[in-house]
Amino acid sequence: MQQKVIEIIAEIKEDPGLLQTLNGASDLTLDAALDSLQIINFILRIEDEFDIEVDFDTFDLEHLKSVDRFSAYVAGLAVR
Amino acid sequence: MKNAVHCGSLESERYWREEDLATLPSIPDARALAIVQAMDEMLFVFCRSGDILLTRHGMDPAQYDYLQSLNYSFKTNMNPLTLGVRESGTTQNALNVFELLGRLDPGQETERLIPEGSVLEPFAVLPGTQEAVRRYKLLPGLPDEQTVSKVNTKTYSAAMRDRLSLPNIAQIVHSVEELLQSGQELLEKGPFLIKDEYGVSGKGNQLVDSDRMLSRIAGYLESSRNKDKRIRFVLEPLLNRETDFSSQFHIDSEGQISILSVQQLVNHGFAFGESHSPGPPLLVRLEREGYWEIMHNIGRELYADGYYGDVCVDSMLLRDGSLAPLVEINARKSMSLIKHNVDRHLKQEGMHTCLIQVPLATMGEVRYEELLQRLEQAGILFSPEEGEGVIPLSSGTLQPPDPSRSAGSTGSAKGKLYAALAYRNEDRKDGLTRKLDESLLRTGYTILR
Repeated sequence: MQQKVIEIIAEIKEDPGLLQTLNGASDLTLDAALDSLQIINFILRIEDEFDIEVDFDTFDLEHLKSVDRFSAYVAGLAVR
Repeated sequence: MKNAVHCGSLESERYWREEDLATLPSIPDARALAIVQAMDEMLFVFCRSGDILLTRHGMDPAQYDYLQSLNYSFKTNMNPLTLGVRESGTTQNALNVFELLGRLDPGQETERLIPEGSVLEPFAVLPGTQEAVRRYKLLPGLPDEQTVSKVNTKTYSAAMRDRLSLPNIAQIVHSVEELLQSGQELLEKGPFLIKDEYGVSGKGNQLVDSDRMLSRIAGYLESSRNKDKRIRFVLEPLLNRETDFSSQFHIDSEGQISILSVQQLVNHGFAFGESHSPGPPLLVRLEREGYWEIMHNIGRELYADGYYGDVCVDSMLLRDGSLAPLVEINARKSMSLIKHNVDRHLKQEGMHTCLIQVPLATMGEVRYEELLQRLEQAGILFSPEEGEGVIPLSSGTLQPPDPSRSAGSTGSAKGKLYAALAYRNEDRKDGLTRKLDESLLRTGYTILR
């Protein structure tokens, strides 16, 4: 899942170089530099890819502290 | 001439928004808001000698001294505008600067700074502006708050295109059913935008490029968050833009319209990236297409509706060669007007200027004064003698107070540097940008590009 998350970030940022520079520890707002609009589009793309639904009202920016943390959050939604 | 008091909240759209309007998906970001709230420092560019600038957090003394050295002679508050211990940080952050001024305890620094009978020069008229005018005995002469709120909506801009017989691609939807129906029709031709009534660049505009995305947004609008709220959005096919630009004009209280400038924008996605003066080809094109007459007509209609003051109209040149003169009306000051006023102050022949923003992060406490020193050591800090270099426009945006962090805690914090670059040619501009990046990194900032 980690690789797919990174691929979607690179797609949203339109920066293929991120495929090499990002890893599980990368912060989505600091290292990947997703801005507020890109975060929404990123989450909508993730929903599509993993067939989940994120609750925007309770979503915490802490989930974006690393690719691994975000992947774990998505995995948690997928098994519900 | 009477002195003016300059202040404002640059996230004006947040305060105009009616609470009962449904919202598009978004994630509250207190850190991003803290940066925008600190942008009010940039209003120094509008100050004439002896004017007063009030900022939410107070300016770093090093920045104040630097601006004085550039012959900006204004007075400002050095301490934050705070309501005291009885009010929480959350309450305070929810207030715009005028609401904040209206609720300050008597006897504070602001009262000593503001001479009675000064003219208020707000970034935008917001709820609470008229009350601040009364409390501090400032001169009236501002349009009423409801009018300003109305003329800043996307539906007002769309209706203005019809009033002026301009091509109008906007559709207004008032229900989820209308959104689904109109959205599906638009999708057959290509991606489209859902625009919030008070959306701003980077926020409040949702690009829809698939049926699944459309039904997800529709589902969100029917969720508990939006239950019982009014649906009102503007749908527009995504324009294939070649160039973004905007024009700035002023409508005085008698209805006289003065065109001030046109600024070209380099946006990153939908967000502000850089603004610079357009070259002659764009200006010739605008003249030929009667663009200035359209701006005057917009000004006349705004005045007829009760608005006067500053206006920034967003426009586009499209890849098919056509001109979209009215994308959006912003009845307030703007980043482009800030850029125009920097140009007015510098007034140097043969010099180019642009306004940039650099997104940053810091891992601990960083001293703004040190950044100024490094820029000076690198030989790129603008001075009137050199006439070329970097002018940092705000100190507080680099490391704004983060309400989500307790005092004294460390960890990453986001910020932004807003700066004007004055340069003789593109090579010099590249050199300034490279040395600016190096100075930021050496001072302890991480650049988030």
